[in-house]
Amino acid sequence: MGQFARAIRLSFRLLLHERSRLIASVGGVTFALLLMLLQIGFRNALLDSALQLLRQVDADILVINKEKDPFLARNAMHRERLYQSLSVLGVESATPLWIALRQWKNLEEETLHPIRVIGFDLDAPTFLIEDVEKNIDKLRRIGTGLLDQRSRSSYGALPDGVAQVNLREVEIVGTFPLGTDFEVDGSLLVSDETFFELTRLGPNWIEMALLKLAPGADLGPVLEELSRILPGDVRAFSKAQLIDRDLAYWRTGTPLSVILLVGVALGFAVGVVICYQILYTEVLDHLAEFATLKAMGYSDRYIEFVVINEAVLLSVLGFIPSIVVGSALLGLLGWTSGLPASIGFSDALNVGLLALSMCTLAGFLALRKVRNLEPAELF
Amino acid sequence: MNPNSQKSAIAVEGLDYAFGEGETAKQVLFGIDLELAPGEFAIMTGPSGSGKTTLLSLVGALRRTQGGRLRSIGYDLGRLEGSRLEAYRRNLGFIFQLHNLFPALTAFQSVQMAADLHPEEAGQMDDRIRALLTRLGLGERLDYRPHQLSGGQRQRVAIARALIHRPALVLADEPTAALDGENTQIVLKLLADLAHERGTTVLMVTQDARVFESADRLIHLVDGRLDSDVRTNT
Repeated sequence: MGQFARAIRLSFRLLLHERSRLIASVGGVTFALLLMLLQIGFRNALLDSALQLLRQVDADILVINKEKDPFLARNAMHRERLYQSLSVLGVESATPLWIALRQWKNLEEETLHPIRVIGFDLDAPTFLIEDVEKNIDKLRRIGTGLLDQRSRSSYGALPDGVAQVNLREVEIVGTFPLGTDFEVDGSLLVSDETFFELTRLGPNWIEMALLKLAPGADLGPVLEELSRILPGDVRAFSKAQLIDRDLAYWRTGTPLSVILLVGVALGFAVGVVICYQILYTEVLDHLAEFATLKAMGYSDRYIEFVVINEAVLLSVLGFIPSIVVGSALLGLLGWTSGLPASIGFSDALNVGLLALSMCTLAGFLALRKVRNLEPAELF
Repeated sequence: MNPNSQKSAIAVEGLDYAFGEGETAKQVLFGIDLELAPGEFAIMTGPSGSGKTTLLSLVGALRRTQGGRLRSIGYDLGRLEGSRLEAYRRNLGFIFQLHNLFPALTAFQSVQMAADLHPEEAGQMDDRIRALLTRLGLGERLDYRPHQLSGGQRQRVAIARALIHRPALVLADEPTAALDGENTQIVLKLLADLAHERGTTVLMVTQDARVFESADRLIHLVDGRLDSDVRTNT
């Protein structure tokens, strides 16, 4: 067994020796990592919820008001732009989408809650959601709608299947999976005619035009041509471009996203302090033993490696429960709020790296005591 | 006396040492001259504050020499740094007054920590650790941690840790203070055997009169000066 393997063995023995202390230490690290994980989960919820509608529209290109930033902001444009887009070679179809925010009445509690009402042409492919396709015929009757099944419970129960939106009755004939966001508690999908009836808006101002390319048409040239022929009040984006633009907007352009990032940084700082306290106490408690090791001929580097290895081990031991508990808490949050709060593999990897950095940094800070250690102090 | 002599295990010439600097400096050793041969078992006595522990720590390279010359088992301690300092310390067996055992390690593992510094003997170390701990009366307690051992047993583990690699020089600070009469005799016999059979030099600081008769030499320090140096078994 080499010197480093022996140092790893010693650090395992030192850290795992006192069970109650180990549990407290791992609990401290887990707590700090949970702070970071939850902030990352909330941030994911912010980003994913803002993009989920955009991801579900069936379009290669979207034409929107140039002021529509971000995508969920309501800035309508004249329907004329849809017809102008259709004139471009390579555009096979152009479908309008209408969106309005209205109030849903909770019939049990007599309270009002915001809902996003989305109107679309039932005969044009608009969404990539299977449940919408299945229920399309049920929407042909005016006054019917599909309710987002992930809507918040604030909408209340519908004993007879009839809801009240904007003081008008809507029969809920089915559901579809989408999810809530930070603006509304849910969404209602209706036909264009029900939309005009429900919102009292006219058909000429649409939220966006969804364009599909003709088979064999290239995206780039079509986008260029659209930019050339469309007036300056609108812009055309590929779906991927718009997703990237919105991601950038939500990541950097919103205070909430920045606050959540600051939350991650604070979690990291709290973690460094917790780890430092754990490792400093660990070093302090073994100062005489470490001094004895130096007197026996062990190098400073060996002892430093033992402490750093304890830090690494601590980060691993804290990371595992933090992922389990964090995923469970975010799952619970998603279940109760309808927000897509979750962590992916890359998030887990990032938190793992943060855990490693956090504990290693704390380990290096705690090492100062070891570096200044003189075996002569044993006397 | 020749401090460079290879025949000496320890050669001290005109050794001075002071704690602190400038006006607050307090000198504790004054021109110590001393020479120990390989295989010699020397006991150093003296009243509290006489400088015996300071001298022990200087020979153990736990402090840097200031004035005078000090050579030990072929190393010039005045110029010892880095890896050579570590190599020198590995050739020593240091027994401290306090055992300083890791609470997490069993008796066997504590001794193994010293054995690990000598990978060239790795193949035989496990057997040697068991044998030595058994000789010290701890054969039934190899897997005991310090909190499961008495003070005397812990001290014997620390002694085993200092001797397992058969060091060229053993430096011991009150090693028998926590031991009863029987175990004191076991430890003294072990040290004497090491000295006389393996040529290990032993320098022990103690006030324990029970052990004086085991020594080849009795060195007495008073106020930082060598007061007497008596050979007993020659």
